[in-house]
Amino acid sequence: VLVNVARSKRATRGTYSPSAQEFCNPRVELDHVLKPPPEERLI
Amino acid sequence: MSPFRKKKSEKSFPVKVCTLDAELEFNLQWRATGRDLFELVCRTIGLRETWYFGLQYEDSKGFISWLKLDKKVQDQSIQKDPQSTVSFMFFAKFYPEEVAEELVQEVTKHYFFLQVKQAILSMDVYCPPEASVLLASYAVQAKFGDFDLDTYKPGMLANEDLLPQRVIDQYQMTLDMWEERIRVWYSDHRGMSRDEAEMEYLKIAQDLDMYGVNYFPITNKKETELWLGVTPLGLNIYEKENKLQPKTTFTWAEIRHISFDDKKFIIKPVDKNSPNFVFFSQKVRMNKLILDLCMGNHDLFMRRRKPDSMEL
Repeated sequence: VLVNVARSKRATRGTYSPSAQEFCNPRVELDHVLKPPPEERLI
Repeated sequence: MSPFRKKKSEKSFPVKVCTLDAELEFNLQWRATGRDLFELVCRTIGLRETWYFGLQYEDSKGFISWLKLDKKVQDQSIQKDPQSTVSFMFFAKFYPEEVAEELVQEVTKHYFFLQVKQAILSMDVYCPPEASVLLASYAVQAKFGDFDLDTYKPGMLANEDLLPQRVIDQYQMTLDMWEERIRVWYSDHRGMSRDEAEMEYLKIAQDLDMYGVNYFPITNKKETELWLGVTPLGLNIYEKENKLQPKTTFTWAEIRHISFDDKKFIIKPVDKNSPNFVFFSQKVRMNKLILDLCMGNHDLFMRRRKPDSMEL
């Protein structure tokens, strides 16, 4: 029974931290700063 | 391995996938994951800019869901009837911030064009009359190619679904008069390829207020009905009667946490002086979908700003 309760609790909850994500994965890495804008990044 | 197990692992089931211009049929292995099916679809239609898209279906409880890529298809409460074929819709789940800069492949632009056009014609996305006529002229150019005075006859466009009904109802104009307006613009687009016309369409459409917003009906603590909008840039709150201009906006960088517990949802801003925004949705399922769309949109938002991460 306990396992079931724990599971159903998890199933009705969720969380996400956008600002923490950006802090952990800095958008601009140093070695990329000097590069020109990636115009052809998709090709 | 016992003969029984072997037999089971080779079992397959029929799947139908509808895109906005084709119907695909596959036989999937019983153990196939969402990703197996999704990659099969993308390969079949030659699409490599896969990150915008997903497979949508109605689950056994009648809720519209996006197929999870990491889980087995069979474990995602797809319909119970084992006799019938499982159907999925191939749709864009996320939108680019700027179509002209982001979309590369012709096939990607084409599927966005078809989906956005459908949203405008079905009036899910509001489009003012003038813009509707201009958009229609690009849709006609994309479909018929250059305007040709010799083959064109008035009424040729009569059977085409070109304008939102609301626009037609708003004016005392016959269908011939509308067609003439569209034709004038259409003859102006001479020399434009299908791909170019579809891109012009998207460039205009992406500036519409409701473009690229996923709306969810919510209520606040005072039980006032509102809309929550999930967009590529963050979350918007709209008043019930106004889906065009948000009354509050939270960009991704301004949000510390988003979380839900059952039907209660909390947006916690980074700025400690601003209050939390608490709202209630109708179903836990809806909150899960909202969180899923937040994570997906924010992931793309970060990837766009991180060079060399969206290679084909």
